[in-house]
Parts: sequence; structure tokens; C-alpha cells
Amino acid sequence: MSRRQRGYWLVLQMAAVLLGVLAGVRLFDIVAR
Amino acid sequence: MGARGEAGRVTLPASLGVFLSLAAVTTGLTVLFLGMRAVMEIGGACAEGGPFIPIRPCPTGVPLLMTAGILGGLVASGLYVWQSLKHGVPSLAGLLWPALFLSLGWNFFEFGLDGPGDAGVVWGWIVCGVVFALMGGLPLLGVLPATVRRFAREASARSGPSGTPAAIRSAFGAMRPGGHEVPGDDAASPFPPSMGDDLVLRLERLSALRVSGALSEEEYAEAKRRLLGLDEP
Repeated sequence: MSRRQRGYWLVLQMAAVLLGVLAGVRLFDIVAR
Repeated sequence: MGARGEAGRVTLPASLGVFLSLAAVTTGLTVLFLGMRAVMEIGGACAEGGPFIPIRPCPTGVPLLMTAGILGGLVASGLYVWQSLKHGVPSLAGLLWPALFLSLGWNFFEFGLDGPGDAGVVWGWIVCGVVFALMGGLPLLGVLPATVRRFAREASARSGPSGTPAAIRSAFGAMRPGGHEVPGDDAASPFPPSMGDDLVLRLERLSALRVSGALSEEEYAEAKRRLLGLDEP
């Protein structure tokens, strides 16, 4: 696996973590009151 | 590995599978984290429905969210591990356990040091916080360096179906007679001793991989043994 590929997967997964956290916060705001 | 191809190759199915499953995992973790805080703010326990008398009702939607967060997070974690293994993608899976326990442990510490209302210091929660910090922190000491190595260089500990690290298989592939690498060929068959004409050349190339850092000392030693036919089955 090239350096470029490893960088791609790292960035992709960091973005997934960020999106997941934002989605979780938003979901909690909507459902829980 | 289900899809037999180059490990870590960037494809749309691999990207979507890894991205969506990991995003679902962190959504579950976040919901669990926030749900726990909502319950701790009202004293750390609540009950509703069934035989319970709702002296202290749960915040609306929180029981549902926490249940969904736990179950959904577990399912998503399984999907994430499966997808990353299937596509040979370096994974953050080892960090999920520490993330779970350290985030919940944080809540125990925060609310333990400044309890709900006028509770002051809640020692029970601080004890829980210590337990959670140990459960998350100790594995993290081992998992974090391994995860960083996995992303930093190719010679990871990830093994293919043959149990041989990818770098060694790659090294053998590159050292096939004629020097032609066989893409997708995971068979880690050692060279028979009869093919020792250019043994020195192969050893030199192996050594170069070690010097460049593509192979660790341990992987180098294993590859060298196989090359020399010292651990033939």
C-alpha cells in the first residue's frame, strides 16, 4: 500500500469520525429533550 | 479477505463501507456519551414504564437513544471491522474500546467531582471513573502505537489468509524468478533450495527492505528463514 493510499484511508476515517460525532450530537438534540 | 485484490486499494465500495460503518460507530458512541450525561445530570438513575413508579422520570427520548446507541454501535463496529479487513484497509478498530471507556470515564470524573445539584463530590462515580480510565487507558498504551504504525508504514502486523504479513508476501512476490511481482498472489510459498542461483541477490534485496524500514527486524528474520528454507513445513 502506497503512502498516498494510507493517507487517503486516514483522512477518510478521520472524516467519518467527525461526521459520526456531528450526527450523534444532532440526533441527540432532535430526539432527546 | 473476501475480495482478492490489492490490499488498501481505493475503490468506491471500500470507501463507502469503511466510511459509513465508522461514522455509524461514532454516532453510537456520541449518543451514548450524551445520553449518559443527561441521566447523570438528574442524579444518575431514572426509570419509567413497567412496574416503576416514575419518581424520577428519564429525560425524553434518552432511554431509546442509549439503547439504540449501544446496539447500533455494536453492530456498526462489527461492520467496520469486517469492511476494513475485507478491503485490507488500515483500521482504527483498536481504538474503539479505549474511546468507549475513556469517554464514559470522563463523564464519571466530571460529574463525580461536581455532582448534580448540591451533591458535591460523588466518590462512587469517581471510583467508576478510575475503573473506566484503567479499562480504556491501559489497552490504549498498546493499541495506539500499533495503530500509528499501521498508518505510518506498510510493514504492519496485519496478516493475510496465509498468516504472513503483507510486506513479506510482497517481498516474496517481488523476488520471484525474473523479478516479476504477481499481483494479488497471496501464496507465501518459500523458494525451494534448488532455486538458489540468485540467493545472494534475494538476500540483499531482503536486507534492503529491512534497512528501508519496510520490514521490521522480526519480519526480516522470518522472511530470511523462509528464503533459506530453514522452516520448511
